[in-house]
Amino acid sequence: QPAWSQTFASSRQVINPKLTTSEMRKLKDILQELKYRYQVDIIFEGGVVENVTTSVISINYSLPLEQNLNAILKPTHLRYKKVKEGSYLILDEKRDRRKSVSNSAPATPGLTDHVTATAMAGHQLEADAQSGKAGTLSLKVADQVVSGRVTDESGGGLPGVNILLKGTQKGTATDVQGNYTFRISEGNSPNSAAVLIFSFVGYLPQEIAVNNRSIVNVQLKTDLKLINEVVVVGYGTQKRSDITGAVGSISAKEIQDEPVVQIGQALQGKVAGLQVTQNSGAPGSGLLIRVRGTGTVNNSDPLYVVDGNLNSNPLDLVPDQIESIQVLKSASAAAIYGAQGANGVILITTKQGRAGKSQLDVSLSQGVQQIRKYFPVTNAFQYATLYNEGLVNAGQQPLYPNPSALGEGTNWQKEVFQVAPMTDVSLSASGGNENSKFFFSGGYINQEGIIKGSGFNRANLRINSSHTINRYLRVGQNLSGSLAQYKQISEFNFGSILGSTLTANPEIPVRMPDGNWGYSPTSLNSGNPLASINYTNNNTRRPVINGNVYAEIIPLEGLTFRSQYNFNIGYSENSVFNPAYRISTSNFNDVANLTESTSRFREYSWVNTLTYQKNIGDHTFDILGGVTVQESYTQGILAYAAGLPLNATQNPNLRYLNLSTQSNRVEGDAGAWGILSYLGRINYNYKSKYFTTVNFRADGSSRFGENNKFGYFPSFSLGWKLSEEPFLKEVTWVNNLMLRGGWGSLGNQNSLPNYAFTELVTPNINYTFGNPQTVVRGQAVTSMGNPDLRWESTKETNIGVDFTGFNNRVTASVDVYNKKTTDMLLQVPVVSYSGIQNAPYVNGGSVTNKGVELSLGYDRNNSIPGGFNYGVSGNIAFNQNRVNALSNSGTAINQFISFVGLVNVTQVGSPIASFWGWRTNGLFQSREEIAAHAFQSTGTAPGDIRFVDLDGNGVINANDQTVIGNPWPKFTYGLTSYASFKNLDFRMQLQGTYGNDIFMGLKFRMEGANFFNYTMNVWENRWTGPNTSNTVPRLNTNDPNNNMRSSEYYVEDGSYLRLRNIQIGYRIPKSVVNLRSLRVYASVQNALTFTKYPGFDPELGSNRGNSPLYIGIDETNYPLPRIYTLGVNIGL
Amino acid sequence: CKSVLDKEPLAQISASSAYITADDARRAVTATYTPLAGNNWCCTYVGTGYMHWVLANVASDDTEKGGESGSDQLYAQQISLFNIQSDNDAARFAWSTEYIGIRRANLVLDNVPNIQMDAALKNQYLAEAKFLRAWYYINLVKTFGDVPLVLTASQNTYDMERTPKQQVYAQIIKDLEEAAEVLPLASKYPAADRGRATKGAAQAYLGKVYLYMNNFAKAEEWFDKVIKSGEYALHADYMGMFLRAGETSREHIFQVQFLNDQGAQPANNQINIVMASRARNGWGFNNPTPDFVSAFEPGDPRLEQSVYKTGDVMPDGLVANVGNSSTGYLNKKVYVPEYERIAGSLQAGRDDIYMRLGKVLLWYAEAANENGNTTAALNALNQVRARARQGKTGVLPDVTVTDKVALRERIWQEQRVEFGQEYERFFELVRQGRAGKVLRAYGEKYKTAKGAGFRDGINEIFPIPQLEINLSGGKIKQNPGY
Repeated sequence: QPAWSQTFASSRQVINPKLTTSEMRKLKDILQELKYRYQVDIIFEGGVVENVTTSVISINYSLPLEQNLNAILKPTHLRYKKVKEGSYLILDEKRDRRKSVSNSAPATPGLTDHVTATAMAGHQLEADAQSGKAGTLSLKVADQVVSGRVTDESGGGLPGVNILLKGTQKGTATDVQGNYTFRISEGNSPNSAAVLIFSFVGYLPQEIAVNNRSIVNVQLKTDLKLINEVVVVGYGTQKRSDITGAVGSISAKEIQDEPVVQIGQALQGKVAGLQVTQNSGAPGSGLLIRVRGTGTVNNSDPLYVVDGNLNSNPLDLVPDQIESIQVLKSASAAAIYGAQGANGVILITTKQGRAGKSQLDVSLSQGVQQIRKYFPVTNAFQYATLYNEGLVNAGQQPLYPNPSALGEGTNWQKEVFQVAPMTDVSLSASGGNENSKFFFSGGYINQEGIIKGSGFNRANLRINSSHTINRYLRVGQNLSGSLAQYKQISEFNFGSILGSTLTANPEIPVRMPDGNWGYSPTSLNSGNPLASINYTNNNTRRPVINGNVYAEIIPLEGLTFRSQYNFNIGYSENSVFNPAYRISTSNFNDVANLTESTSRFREYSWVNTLTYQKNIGDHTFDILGGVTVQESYTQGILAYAAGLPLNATQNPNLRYLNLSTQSNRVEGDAGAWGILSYLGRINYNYKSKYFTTVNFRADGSSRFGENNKFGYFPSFSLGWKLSEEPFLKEVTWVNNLMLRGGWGSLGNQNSLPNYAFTELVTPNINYTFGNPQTVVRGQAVTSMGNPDLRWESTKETNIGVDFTGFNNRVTASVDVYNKKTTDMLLQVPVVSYSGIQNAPYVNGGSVTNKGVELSLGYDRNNSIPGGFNYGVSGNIAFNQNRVNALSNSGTAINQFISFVGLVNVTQVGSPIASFWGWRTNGLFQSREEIAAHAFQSTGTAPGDIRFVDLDGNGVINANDQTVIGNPWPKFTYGLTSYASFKNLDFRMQLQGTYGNDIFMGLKFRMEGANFFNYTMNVWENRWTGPNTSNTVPRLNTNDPNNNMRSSEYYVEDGSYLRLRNIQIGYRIPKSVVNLRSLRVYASVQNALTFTKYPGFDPELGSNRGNSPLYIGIDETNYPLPRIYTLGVNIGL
Repeated sequence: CKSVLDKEPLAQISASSAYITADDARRAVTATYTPLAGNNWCCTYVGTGYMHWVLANVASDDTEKGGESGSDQLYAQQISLFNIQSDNDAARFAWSTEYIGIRRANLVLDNVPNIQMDAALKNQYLAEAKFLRAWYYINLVKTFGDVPLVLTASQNTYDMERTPKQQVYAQIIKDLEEAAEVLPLASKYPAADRGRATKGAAQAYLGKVYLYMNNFAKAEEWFDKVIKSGEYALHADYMGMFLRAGETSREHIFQVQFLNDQGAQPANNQINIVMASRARNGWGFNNPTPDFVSAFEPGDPRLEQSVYKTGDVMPDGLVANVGNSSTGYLNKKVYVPEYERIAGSLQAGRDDIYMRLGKVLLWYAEAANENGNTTAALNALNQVRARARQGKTGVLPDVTVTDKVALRERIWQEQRVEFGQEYERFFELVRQGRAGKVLRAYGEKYKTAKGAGFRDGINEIFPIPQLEINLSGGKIKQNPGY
């Protein structure tokens, strides 16, 4: 009697002291368990045991196997036959009689375990066993004992690991501590040659030669690319290898220990076709995430689903708590989300408890952040020289009599940027038993900004638990609470603190000799950015609670009813206090004011689904039907007042509205929407070879007009697992080869505001009347409704191939797609003479995204613990975006930025938000060249930019504007690699984009002779006389040629390659510290960036959250920091 | 589940319940005034505005653009140089803002007649709407020439062509005449209604419109009614009428009103910041030219009251610093003295005066002179000069010249200085048929690109916004030369 079964038996009795007869279980499962516990072969034909249940109470593991088999089979029509030592055959007495007549019939593979799946019918097997063909089952008892412990990567014992003696059916399994003992029968497999195979679901199998050892300890490695991995697919799960849509998967392993506060940051470069761009390096700021390009000019953000909870804000989610992420890319994969899935779906599953000994994990990391690169700008001497030059060229007097006396001056970037700490502490515990499991996590992250005065912190708590009440009922809950706090400084425009840091006059000292903030009495254009930071008080708090509760009822085998209630509740409160101060006559605020605003939201959804799984012969069905309802409500309140006490500048306790003395203002608004959906899905496969998935969803949304409330979104996909075909089955280097294709239709209800269908009155259109004057309230209808609004829908065709081979070491995947958005909801500008300010929404556009995605990975999968392991995986995604149609001919949707004006257009035939302006052709070197060229301006002089006369009419005018750049990359790519040897591990990630342009709007101020500080490009490359330069125009403060109009002069190559993360870790051996696991690591985030882009950072998202068309425009945004991190993971 | 899918708008009023009570009528009329307050800047709380300071001042020989630098507000630079692109923002904003006002007037005229309310008040509201519609069309027609004439807000399709200028003028005259008939005299309004359109305002704009149409007889007739109404009087203190204390002056006939009160919504006047010195937290636009300064007769007290330069002592006792003004001058008519600051802001809520008796008298004088009423012309002209002296002796003697051509020149000269920087100059030059001559001479004289690009027969009006042409599918045609 092996030691483990004793342990198991006693522990089982402790856990379940009273087994009742109601504990009926499938015979098949019990036989599997017996087989596993007694380490014998129990062979049966699928059809024989199918639908047979029996009572568990009769099993007692302390008794011999035969006794248990007798007890179990007694109430059935089955019997067992001992074929050999350690080999039993289950026989059907009735069928045996039939079969003896009809001789042996083929078995039904696929319905039982792997042994019988490949075996022949019972009789045949019995015969083979007796003749010794079915394996080496004959025994010679001269056993040697091997024992040891099997652990996971964190050093924790793994219970239930299968251990098989290679070449035999003999094996055992580990106990709950991960310990095992195994007798090797010498005669058949001499100990010297014995090889043990250790396998466990979710881990890579390992083969280890015993080599006469009596103790063999094994550490199993998680199988990242596990072929039979089950993944979440939306209202259910599916085997990874059976999925017929395009899905990108990321596991917790791939994102761990990165210094990120948002999950999106860690996804960068990891999934082909998922473009992640950080909008700003400001701590806690948002991300721009696009799945397969931008399909619409409206909201293009993917749907986030966290544990089935739709619309959770990824901002509130802690990366540490995430178990896995699935990116549903193709329409056929995302189709089950219907009206909310058009921009792709990101399914996030948080960590769940695991049965077994409770575990506590503690992670601590401390980072130091610094600016990656200073933007090269001129010093005080250079600045004054250039300033004078611009004035003189404009016919004015120079301002600085002696520029060289100014010397270096202030380096504002050095003053404003700082080395900032980042701290991340998290603690998680998990555990439970087979019936009740829990996961608990708490953490705190604090990230100071690399720009003084900015920062972010977040505290969070998560409790996930699940309970099996009985075999009919399972309940559970996922609950998360977080409190995020932001300290913000202004960015994204020329006058922001960041903008003014770049453009600040270096002649201004940080402080005057008297200690007050520095200013320049001569140059009045720029302020003191450090003073601005000091006077900025912009704080946001965001407490959010979200989660869900669910119950699963399993009335029948294979039938599951699930009801889940999700909720997201929270608010965001912002306070902006502008203190009274006086720096100089041109830089002051005499009256302190305070704006407090709160935005509250509450949202719930109730999801009821019924799932039925059924195998009938070679046919496997998985059918889903459901009804969901979702409602959202938001409300905003704003209060403003001025005249706060003067000492509120120093004393935060005085920054409250009731202390104001003048100008009170309140505002408020609210909005609500609801969506009611019916959904259905059929997954069907034949012989695990031919797959099909059909989805259907009908969505009704309150946002649509009475005439088109409901949208219908069908999809289907097909798969052919070639690796299951006979002609590939024998090809050993192919483990899995799936050809798949699909088509689907999706909607985008976020393309509309809440009430676009109706005409609304805009309140508070006020005017001043009277003596004494007073503000009188007015109102007007400024918009037009459209009750016929239809759904904006996206239809996509996707064809792909998944491959796994060479012993599961190589994975590859290719997808080709064509995604077309039709009925795009547009606020098509109506003629201005209509006087309609808010143009009505119409279904009037079409956009195509076409692309190819490739992923390729290699994982060495070395089974020797501590041996050299490495893996590398890369992905690349090509996407082409094009606007096919906009409802009014000649219409374009335009994006303007301050000063420069119109910078991009969305027009038929070009990608969305293409940069727009004049093409340039160097600089005029002489008057003759100007005379020979089309007329630009009366003031055009040598050194000015030569614009291209596209229409050749001899005048440079608006008709010569054209598309001058594309903000969308031709392709994006990523590369992830790891290596480990003994206790050392190493990880590296690269990510990049190619072929996208950036509109470097900040040139307007920094290269346009605007009396602001200049880029070094101006100092080094400006035109100062014939043939001195053909790139940077002459300085002239009057700019009579309008050199700074939107043109190719602003357009820069935005391609980059970034070493996002490089990490090295060391696992401290148990011999040094006796903990379950202890690992220390060091990493560098944003270590290196290769780019031609001259600005701070080529990674530019959308700076105006509400405008999806504001893409690739650099009006100075917060650069991403480089982060050096030291961390430790402790497992108890 | 109906409640899930049927969400009545929250915190918003549906259009269907917008015109029911007398209060609704008042609110609708109030909103018709609001686009006036967008005047002069691109992006105020009102939205866009008709940028008078660019189209009327910077386009002329009186004003340089100023601002941060040459590239600051490129559209204004283009206009200064007459290198105007068809997507010029000032033209675009002018077009769209005035049509927003026209739509709101049309909404009033479409809907208010159906409201059950006091008949007299209803008629007054309708007359105000007509006045405002005319006001917006005047700006459009002087800026763009022919424009689509939209007279109702319940139009289902917008596929109009441009309506000939004469027809637009005819409608303006009709609206103004109907308004003049109904609107109360300024003095008959209760104090709480100051700022509303008055009979005098409608009459004054009728005069101005006829002037733009070169119908001097009609112009003289309407201006005469204003002068004779006894409602208006010249303000003794020239500069004082532009200050906050002068907002109730009897000289004012139509002004856009502002109040620096953050209470309801900011209703302050952005232009006070736009034109203020960069040394005082302003933006430094609208720099009066040396040519404008030299147009003043020696000793004319109005010069120091119209412009200021570094070192000048201001009404609040501060010593001026004009910052980086490209001409060395700034517009004093919008100067905000320290004592006028509200909540520390330069946006003092100062009104913009668009029609005042000083203008009416000089336009009357011009019309009368053209009509041969020399005595009346001289009388009006000298009234203005007398006020301009503000008690000073030995300056600005009465004009006595009676030759029609010479007197015309004298009147034009007087107009230039009396209402300098008051958003008239460029359109006056165009109206008087001498824009090209004057502007090119300016470019020549000061060796500058400003004004030199003016092309006769083209630049008298501005380009129709390119976007509008595109949206109309070509039905709206561009002005020649753009």
